[in-house]
This record gives sequence, structure tokens and C-alpha cells, in this order.
Amino acid sequence: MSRPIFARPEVMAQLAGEPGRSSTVDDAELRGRQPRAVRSALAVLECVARLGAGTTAQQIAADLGLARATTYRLVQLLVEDEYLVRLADLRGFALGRRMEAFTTPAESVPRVPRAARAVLDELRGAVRAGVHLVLPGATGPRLLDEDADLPLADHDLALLAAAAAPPPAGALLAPDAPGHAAAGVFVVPMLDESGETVCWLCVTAATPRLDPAGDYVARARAAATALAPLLA
Amino acid sequence: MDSRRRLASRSPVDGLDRRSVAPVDVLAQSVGAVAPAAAAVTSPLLVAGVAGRAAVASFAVALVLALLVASCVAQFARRVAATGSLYTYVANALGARAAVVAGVGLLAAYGAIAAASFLGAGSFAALLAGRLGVAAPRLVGVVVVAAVAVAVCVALLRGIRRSTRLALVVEAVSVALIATLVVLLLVRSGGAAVARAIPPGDDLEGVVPGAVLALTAFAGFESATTLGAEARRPFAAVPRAVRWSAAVAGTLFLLAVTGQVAGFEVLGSTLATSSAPVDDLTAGFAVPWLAPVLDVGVVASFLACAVASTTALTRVLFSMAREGLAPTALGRVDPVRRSPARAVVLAVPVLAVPALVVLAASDEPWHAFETMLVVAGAGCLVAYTLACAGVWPFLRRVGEVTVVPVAVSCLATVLLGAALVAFLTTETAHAHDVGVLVFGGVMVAGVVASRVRLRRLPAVRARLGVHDEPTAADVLPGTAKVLDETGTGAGTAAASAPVPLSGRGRSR
Repeated sequence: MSRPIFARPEVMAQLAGEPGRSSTVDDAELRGRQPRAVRSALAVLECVARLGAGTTAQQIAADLGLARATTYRLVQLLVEDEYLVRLADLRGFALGRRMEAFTTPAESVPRVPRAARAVLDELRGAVRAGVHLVLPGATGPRLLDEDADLPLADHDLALLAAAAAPPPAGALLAPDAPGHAAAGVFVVPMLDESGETVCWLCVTAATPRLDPAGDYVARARAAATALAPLLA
Repeated sequence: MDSRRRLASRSPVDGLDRRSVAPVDVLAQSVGAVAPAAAAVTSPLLVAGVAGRAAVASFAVALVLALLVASCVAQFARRVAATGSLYTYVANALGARAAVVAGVGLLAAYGAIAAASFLGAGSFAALLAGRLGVAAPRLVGVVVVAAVAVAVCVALLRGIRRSTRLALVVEAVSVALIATLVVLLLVRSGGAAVARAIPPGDDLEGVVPGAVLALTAFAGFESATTLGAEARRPFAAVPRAVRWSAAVAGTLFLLAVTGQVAGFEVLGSTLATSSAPVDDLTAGFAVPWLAPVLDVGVVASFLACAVASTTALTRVLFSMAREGLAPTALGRVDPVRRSPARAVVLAVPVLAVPALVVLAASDEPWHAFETMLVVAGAGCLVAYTLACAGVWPFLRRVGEVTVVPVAVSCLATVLLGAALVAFLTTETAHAHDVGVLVFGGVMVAGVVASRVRLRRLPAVRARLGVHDEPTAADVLPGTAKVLDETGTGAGTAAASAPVPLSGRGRSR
């Protein structure tokens, strides 16, 4: 059954890639002008969403009635944390890919159709390894369907998160993090007709090591071929 | 306005290992290029030569100047993800003419820093070999230069993450070794000697030439700005690295010069009259074993400096090649390692050969070393001055003018312009006119060649100042239009591959 990764905070921290220190709220209570700054920052984001890509800092200041210097500073902070993106003309701003997490919450992970679940169950019965469906996303991979018998280990998730770009077909992710030297995740991306990655089929080792000679390679590829039209 | 909302399908500096370098490695790039350990050993003596007792005050003034420059550079670094450092900034602020001058100055500076670090590594290795009683110390020096050149080549070709990490580790070791000496000097000299070392006394007028010379010891602290495309979260990491490296290097310099002046005070001599201060100090304080250890540290520091300055040089060349100002081959990138391979393979031998020739031909490499440092200092000062002068026009261009940065940049421009003039005059007066002549020759040749090329290829002029641009992968899907390969609008961001921001750009 699918279990949202958001239910596991320690894993979430890993998946966020490098959790920006500036983006974590300090435990100390908000004092002085801080509450106003938080509200203003959110208002800036809302303003860019409303006025559209290409909005300049001056337009934001005028629209929100904020002081210019304050607006430039807020915009700067939001760009540093990549909630906003400065466009090529260096004047205009657009909402950053990081905002995707706000528009597609964890609950919106699509339900896996019954036909696809059948393919997954068949593969799970055939290989001695964990079989998972993972959704690649800007905020890190999200679990679409996790193998209940052999759940993804934290270090496997870290490996997937590290592979930020969709890995090449049939890639055996080489773990370079020390301590997981024997780990391994086999990933088959599934593409739709336009060549866009829909989802990853991930095979993780049941034993400490994924046997490179195992029959999971051919079986996983066949299952991915069967799954792609069901999920696209 | 629709044209402003369009996104390129790929960044103009596409091909480098985009958004891959961790913040600590970005800092290592800047700190490595300064080579604080090597500079803390070599530059207090040079500064004391012109400033006398005002050496400590000179370094303090230079640190303030460096922080002013860092503040101006940060105004750009927060807004432009550049691979061409100050050259790209000036192109976006002051246009093609000023950009060419800044670019040639910057190339001269990074080239001279790299050449000087090859020579420095070889010279200190020869010194060390001499101490250890090796029969042919100069041969050792030549071999070490060749080894450093090969190491730099391999590190840079293997990719940016490997080379910045190498610089980080090596520089950390060398800084630790120098810090050991400095702490030892400060503790053994005692509080009274340290207190006597700090005020400039009668040599107050020496502060100006001393501070200018000390400022050139910071050269390279801005070089994190060449990693705008390759740094992770560049708009936060790069400005921070520039400020921190100025602060770290400046603090180490201040401690080192104070320790050295105080140490000589205790020994009843002066820093300015010593020919080999580290030897005199380690002998005077009865820790002769520390001298060879420090030599190892200095060689290591020069290795890190060679890696960092060559990295910076190749990135500036890469930017110029992508614009068409330099030969396009220099903009080609290894498809697997994502390093500008052609630029590396071309630059490293050119920069290492002078060191090999000097070491093979002469027992006195220091004159050549100082000549290279003069070129580096002057080149950096030219680029710093133009970058500071560009802050106001740049902020006007992006529509984000505020009072404080403009005021700081005006002050910095005046001070740096004066520093450049003072530096060139002082160096000419102090018999380093060879360095001034070499610098003048490089500047004139580079600027003339660039102007000729710009006249022949007018389209290039409009392209100057290319920087990393956000692509469809960087913005929220559906918010901006995407240009396809032919430059016509096609679809929205959602239609392109969902490569997250931390992903690597595609190779060219």
C-alpha cells in the first residue's frame, strides 16, 4: 500500500536534498518585525503568482505597497531559496520549481490502477527483491506504491533522492555515500508517448547486495513495458 | 510583456555541471585562489618592505577594502549566476568596452596567480629539498612544478566537484599548519610585544602603499563568482563565499603579520630587514623543525591555489568562448565530466611553462615570482574597480536601486581607483617595473585583440555578458513560455522534461 513519505519526517529531510538552513524556521518564537516579514514574503509570492512571470521587483513593491528596499530584500531571500526565479532579463521574476510542492501536496499522489497493481504483484511474486513505484518530482521522489514486504530503506530513498535527474534506463544506481557501499537500487523509468518520464519502477535488494546477475533485470524491464501504458 | 516571460530551453552556459557544487566547495574555490597560507608566509615581508612598522595597520586597511569590494561583488552575485566572474558582471553593467578591459584584467590576474603558484610550489619544494640535503634542489623544484601541473590538469578534467574538493582539503591542511606557527609566535612573543607590533608608530605614511600591496594578497577571493552556474543555490552560496573568503583570509593575514612583527620585536630585529622571515623566526624561537613543515604547508597552499586559479581562468575563457569573443573551441565541454576540457588542456601548459623555465634557469626565482604577483594584483584591481563602478548602472538596469549599495560602491570605486594608481606607481618605484610593463603589455594586447574581434563580428558585442539563465526546469510548470531550439515560442514549461532544479543540465 502506498505510504506517503511525508509521514516520515526524517526521510523527508533527506529527500529535500539539502535542507536549506535559511528555510527552516528557528525554534525561537517569532519576535518583533518577524511576523510581518513572514506575511510580506508570502504576499510577494502571491503577487508574483497573480501578476504572472516577468513581474519586476518595482511592480511588486507598488502592488503590495511595501517599501522598495524591503521588497528587494524579500525578493532576494526568496530567490536565494529558489521559491522565486530571476528571469534572463534580470528584472523579472517567476515562481520557482520549488513552489511545486505547494501546488501538488502529498495527498494528490495518483492512485495506481488495479491492472497496474496486478503487474506489480506478479513481479513481486517472481523476484526476491523489493518492487516499488516512485514518482520523480522537483521536491524529490515520492512513493506511489511501496512493496509492503520489503519497504524501501532510508538509504535507498537517499540514493533515489540523489539521482535528481531521471536516471538512464536500466541504471544501477551506484551508491557513493559511505556506509551503504553494498546497497543498490535498480531503476527502470517509464515514459509516456512524448518521452516524458511518468514514473520509476525501482527494484531494491532484499539482501544487503543486489545480485547483478539476478533475473530481476529482464523481469523488471518486461513489467515496466506492461506498466507504462497503464500509468501514462 | 511576453518576450520577458519566455524561457530558453537551455542555458547559454549549458554543458557545465549545473548546480552541483556544495556551498563549502564554493567557499574553497575562493579561499583556494587567495592561497591564504602561502600569502601569509610571503606577503607580510613584502608589505613590511614598503610600510615598515605600519605593516599590521596596512593589512587592517586592506581587509576593510576587501570587504567593501566583496559587498559590491555580492550585489552582482545575488542577481547573476555568472561563469565569467567580474567580466560578466561588468558586461551586464557597463557594456562591451568596459567588459573587455575587466575581462583582460581578470584573465591576466588569474593567469598570473596560477603561474605564480606553479612557481611558488616549485621554489618552496626546492627550498625544502635544500633543507633536507638533497643534492639537486632545483631539479626537485622542476619535478614538483611538473607534478603540480599534471595534478591540476587531472583534477580539472575530472570535473568541478573533484577539483573544488581537492582545493578544500589541501588548503585546509596548509591553513592549519600556518595557524600553528602564528599561534606559537603570538603566544611566545607575549602580550606586550603583540601590543607594540600593532600601532604604525612613525611609519604612518607607509599605510597607503602597504595597504595597496596587502590588498593584492587578497587577489582571487572573488573567484567563487566563476561558479555561478555550477554552484548549488548560487544566489546564496556565491556572495557568501566571496564575503567569507575575504574575512577568513584577512583574519589569517592579520594574525600572521602581527605574529611575525611581534616575533621579530622579541628577537630584537625587524621583519622588513629579514630576507627569510620564517627561517629567522623558527630558528630564533628554537623550533627549527617547524620550517620544513611550513614549507610543506606552503607547497600545498600553492597547489590549491593553482587548482582554484586555473578553474577560475578556464571559466572566464569558457564564458568568452560561448559569447564568441574567444575561440569557440574553448567553450567546448567534456560530455561526461562536464569540465571545459579544451580550455584546461590549453591553459595549464601555458601557465606552467614560465615556472619551469625560471626554475631551470635561475637560482633566484623570487624576482620572477614578484613580477607575476604585480601582474596579478594590477589585473585584479582593474577588474575590482570596474565592478564597483558598475554597481549603480547595474542596479538601475535591473530596477532595484537602493541607497546603501550605491553609496558603498561609489566609495569603493574611488578607493580602488586610487589604489590601482598607487599600486602601479609604487611598484614602478620599487624596481618591479618589469611587472608593470608585462601587465601593461598584456592589457594593451588583450584589449586591442578583443576590440578588433568585436569590430569584425558585431553580433558578438550583443552577446557579451552571457550568464546562466533559468530554464523550464527551474520555474513552476505552466508559469512561463518556453522557447524551443529555433527560438520560436512552443508550449509551456510543463511540456518540457521535468528535470528538477538540482538536476544537471544537458550537454551541448
